[in-house]
Amino acid sequence: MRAFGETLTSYRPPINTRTIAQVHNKKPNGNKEIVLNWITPHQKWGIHSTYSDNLLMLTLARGGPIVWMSEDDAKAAGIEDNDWIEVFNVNGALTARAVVSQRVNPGMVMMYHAQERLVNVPGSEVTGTRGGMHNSVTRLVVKPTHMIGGYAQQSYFFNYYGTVGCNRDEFVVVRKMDKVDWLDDDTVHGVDQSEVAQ
Amino acid sequence: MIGNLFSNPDMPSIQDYYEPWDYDYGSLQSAPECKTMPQARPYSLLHGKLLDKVEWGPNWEEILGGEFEKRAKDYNFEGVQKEIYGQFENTFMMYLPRLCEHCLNPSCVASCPSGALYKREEDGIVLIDQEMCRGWRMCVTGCPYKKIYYNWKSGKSEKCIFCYPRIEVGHPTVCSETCVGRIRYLSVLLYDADRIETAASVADEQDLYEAQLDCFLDPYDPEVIAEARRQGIPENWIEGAQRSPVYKMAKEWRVAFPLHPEYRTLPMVWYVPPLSPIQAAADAGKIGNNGIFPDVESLRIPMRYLANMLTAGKEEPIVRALKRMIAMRAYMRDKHVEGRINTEVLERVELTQAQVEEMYRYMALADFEDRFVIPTNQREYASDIYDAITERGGCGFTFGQGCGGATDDPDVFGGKPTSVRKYFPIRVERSPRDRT
Repeated sequence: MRAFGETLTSYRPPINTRTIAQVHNKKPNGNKEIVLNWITPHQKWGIHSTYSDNLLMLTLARGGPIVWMSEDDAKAAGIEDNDWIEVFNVNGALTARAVVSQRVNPGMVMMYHAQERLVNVPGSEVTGTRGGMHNSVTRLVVKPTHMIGGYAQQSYFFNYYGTVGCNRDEFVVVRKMDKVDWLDDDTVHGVDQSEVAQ
Repeated sequence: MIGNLFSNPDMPSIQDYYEPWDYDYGSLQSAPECKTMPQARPYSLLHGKLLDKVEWGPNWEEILGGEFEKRAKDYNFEGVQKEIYGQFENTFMMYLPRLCEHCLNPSCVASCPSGALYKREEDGIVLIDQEMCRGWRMCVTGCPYKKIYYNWKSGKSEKCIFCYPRIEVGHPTVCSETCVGRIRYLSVLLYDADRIETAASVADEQDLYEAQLDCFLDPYDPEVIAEARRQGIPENWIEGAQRSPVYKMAKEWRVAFPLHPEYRTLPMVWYVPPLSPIQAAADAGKIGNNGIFPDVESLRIPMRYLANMLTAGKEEPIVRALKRMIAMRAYMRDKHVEGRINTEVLERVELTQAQVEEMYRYMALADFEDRFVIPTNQREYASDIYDAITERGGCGFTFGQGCGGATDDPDVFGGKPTSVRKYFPIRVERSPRDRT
């Protein structure tokens, strides 16, 4: 750790994870696409075992997945508070509503952990499938310090490789959604099950 | 004139609260095999239709959510150059827990055409008699703090009851007792009811804070004690008034203030203004100081904002309170860390050593016994001065089996029947894939 200068918390500039160029402005929906740094802080609107998918917890915020962004970025992308937005890169896509706030630094966009993707999540225009959650746009990035000292090897588990933040350090494309599709009619055989029942 | 007598045109609509919703959780289990994940979509509890977007909720703008321009309509920004506080670097926020103020001059009581609202003489709690309420809702618009709600199920208005069944037996209110931050204090204040009208009528609204303070009586004054005894105030209430943390904070240390005194209702829930981060900036030389205090006017939360909230815009009392709290910290820090008694810092804010040690005990250590000094109610005394019959067995609310028999359905908080929300909506729209 000393060799990497990371015995204590230290600043590292964001890395280029090459997840943007392939999707940026490739499937336009008519709204401006901007690229921002993706931050995922720890869960809010949940109390330990009281998960954030129940009505009471969801009433503490906006009743579904939300992504916080700065007023400057929102203005640049033509996004207003509570607009449906889509956040994507080559890793995946998520759909949520925007919370435009002065407390977010321009250049970044953040989504709290553990927002339930079974509740109030429409389809993504980019993928044509259901939108995901905060980790849909991240992927595991291993760096050398993960391999030292017996720490990471001993404690690896899915998508949580060690103590550093870089495994979720990512850039995303953010844009306002054009059409909100709830994908209500996508039964596997393209047949409405109620007709089958009859 | 007669035609307008009961006109109440500015009633809040459901959109001012929020359109209640729930989720179609059942569809998660009943959905047929699909290409994508099933969804519990929100639907309105008013009309049962699925919602494309939830538009407003009870905690919508929490932690500064929403554009500053929209939030900045906040009336406390009056006289503040608010634009700079919309910038990322100058962001500030504070929490303001609000409950019924149980005012000395309650406008809800004055506005009730049915005489259902009353202020209990024995402890000052403001209540709505659920038997007498006729649902005029004048109190809903009559309360400037917006703390009375209309129950559409029972047709009666409801409000905070200051947990009076608990208070009567010497327990704090639930909100006070459960407060994790231990910021709530609750006790007795002796006041001169004959001064209320004068206090509420002072010409300059910035004098209302002082005028209300003048209503509060010194519980150690022999004359006050004698008069209290003569009027039949029980001995344990006089003792309670003497040990009252509220009296100390409001009157002795002057660190607590009424919320929006300019409403002239003489509110009785008072607030200690928050200190906001300056010390680090002051240490770094970014904020001036006079050798001891960082410049209080440079607090992150603008002084005028707090003053608009607590003293009708008068800044001096707020500055004094904040300086006293900073002095308390400085004094205790010197005492514990440097091992010296720094009386100079106290002289500047006109506090004695005994006072600041007591402030520390009440505000920093905040023991249960210091925060809550609640003498038990003397029902025989109370029933003499007010018709206790209306209160017996009452709860101030109309849900559950509480009072009045307006409904038998327990609801709102917990209990099994809540899971069956049987009263509304009339019909729930199912997601199209779920019609089986």
